[in-house]
Amino acid sequence: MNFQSIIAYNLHWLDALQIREKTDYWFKKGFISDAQSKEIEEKYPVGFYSPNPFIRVGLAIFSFILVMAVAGLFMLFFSPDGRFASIIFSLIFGIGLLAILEKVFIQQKNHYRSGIDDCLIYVGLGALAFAISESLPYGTPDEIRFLFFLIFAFIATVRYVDLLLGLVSAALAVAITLMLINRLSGVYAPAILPFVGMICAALLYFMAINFGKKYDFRFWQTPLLFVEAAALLLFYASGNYWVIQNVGQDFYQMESVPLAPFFWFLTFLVPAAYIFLGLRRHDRLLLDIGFFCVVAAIASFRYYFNVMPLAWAATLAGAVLLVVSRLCIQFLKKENSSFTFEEDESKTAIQRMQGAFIDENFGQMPAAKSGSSGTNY
Amino acid sequence: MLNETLHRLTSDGLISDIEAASITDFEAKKPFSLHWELQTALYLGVLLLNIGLGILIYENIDTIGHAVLITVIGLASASCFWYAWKHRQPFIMGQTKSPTPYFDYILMLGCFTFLIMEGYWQFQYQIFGQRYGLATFIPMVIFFGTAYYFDNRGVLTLAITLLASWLGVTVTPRDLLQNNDFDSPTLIHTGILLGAVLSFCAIISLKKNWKPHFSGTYFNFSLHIFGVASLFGLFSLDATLIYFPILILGMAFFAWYARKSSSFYFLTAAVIYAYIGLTYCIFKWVDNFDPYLALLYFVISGVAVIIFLLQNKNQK
Repeated sequence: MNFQSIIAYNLHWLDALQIREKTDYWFKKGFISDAQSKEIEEKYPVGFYSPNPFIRVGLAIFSFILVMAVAGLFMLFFSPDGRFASIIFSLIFGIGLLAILEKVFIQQKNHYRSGIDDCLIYVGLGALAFAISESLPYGTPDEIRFLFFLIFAFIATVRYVDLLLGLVSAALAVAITLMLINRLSGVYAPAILPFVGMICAALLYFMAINFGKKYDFRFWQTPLLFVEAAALLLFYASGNYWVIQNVGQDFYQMESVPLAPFFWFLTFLVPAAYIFLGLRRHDRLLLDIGFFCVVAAIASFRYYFNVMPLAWAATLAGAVLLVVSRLCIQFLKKENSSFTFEEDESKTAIQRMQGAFIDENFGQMPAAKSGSSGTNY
Repeated sequence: MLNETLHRLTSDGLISDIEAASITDFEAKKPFSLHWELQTALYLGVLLLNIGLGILIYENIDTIGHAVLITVIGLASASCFWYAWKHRQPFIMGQTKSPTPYFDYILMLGCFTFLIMEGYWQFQYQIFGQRYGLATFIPMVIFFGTAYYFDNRGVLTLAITLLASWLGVTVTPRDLLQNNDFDSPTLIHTGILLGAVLSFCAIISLKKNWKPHFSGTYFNFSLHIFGVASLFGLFSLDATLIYFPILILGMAFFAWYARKSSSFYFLTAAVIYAYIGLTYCIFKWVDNFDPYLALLYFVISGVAVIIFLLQNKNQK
């Protein structure tokens, strides 16, 4: 399969990164010997320049300052006047940045997630998006505008394996669909849109998990994981009573929510289903988003029905949580089941998502863990 | 995904078929860890319970009475410290392992409830009167002692915070404090000095091996207190020729330390503080900056900082 070569980064090294993440874990678990692990490192070398997350942040900040200053200088020098000139200017600027990114930083300097490449990708694409948006005639429907953005964002997601662009692409696709349906369905829009949202989310979700499982798509695992999470959240939000009621009121001046009991049912059923399926399939993303949705469901309910004062509700909820989690921990420690309270050292979905932003490896800064020097139970 | 990876490793001759089989078996059978979820639920439960009870007590204060409440909080604090005392590890100068999983949290809770009890006392009965310094000094001493004795960096963080506020309260005349005048030279100088002293503490703990793992906490406070204080000096005291060298010297020290101990967090933070100071000074020193030159400054300085940061090789 050669469609992977659309990726701008060195594929062998991306492959090696993924393989070594797995073998490092097996090494920790004792399945691979020291010698083997060294051999694997030799066989799968990684030549990327990927500095520590803090350096990455610093490089991104100063690259941004530099790029903006350069843009300012060009603006002063050429002083592009009027719409046409500014389109040309941002087009050249965007293409120039992406060219520098690819030719210099990715191909020559082997940067990968260094802060410089992140900055150039986003600023370059931003300039291109501005150029496109400006060159469309006034009064162009937003759907068309978004469609152009989507094309660029999607190509960039595929080429730079970037999770943020992946999320932007998914959001644009959903937004275009919702806007189109809204335009076409007229007065029925508020009744239809929740279902459209859920269908979009379901499609995105199954797309993400299907491609996520395929070995040929392994390099896009992280962006797909983020799309998977976003789809789960979108599915819940589309059926959540509070969301539907507020959107209906703000955009359609709706007095009441049609099928209210059904949406109340969904508000509570979906989190329960997420948790149940998450536990059954050992799917951490589903499980954790399920817990988050439970909180959202309770908040939605409390928004309309003031069952008990906040103080009592908090006390009760706290006590229940405390007792239940304590009992679960005791149960897991005693019984042998397919669940455990031991920490899992392999990178879980959530950790992978955290790691995409900040590595938990805080350099060698001892103070990083000062607040909680003993989180182990 | 797993099978393909293993297949590649076996066909490259890096692992044997038997090893691959045992890994497959392990991955299929390994139990699903609920550690993170249950722990979060536990903390959330404690938090909610505390908030709920706090509001309930606050709402019913008329029927409960202040004396009872202070006694309850005091007892809570005392029992936390009693727990810590009972489960304490023998004191050593190095790092100790938490004796029980709950130890660190209970100790922190004890410190927090102590602070609440003290604040309550002061609020209700004015036990310290106008001597606010004493009100921060006493818990500070207790917390420094606690942090070192029970080897807890969380409590050390509290103690350093109290040290900073004790100094702040002590050096500031009360009318200034009430006017929220944070630009006063005394306060800025105290900040710079405190930053330096904390760095000194960090170096001492490293050199003498007195709880060397505390040095990171000291350095962290030192960097930010020093950085913010000297930047405030630059901005508000109109003596750039004094505060700029101070800032640059301080940040150079942190950059040096960061490079030496490869703590990239300190390096990036020091560079950002220094850059803010430098940019401010450049624009302050040069009147009527030509826009070309101003932008050129950002280009040149940006390139310089990027080159400096790029000297840091891969994370490992």
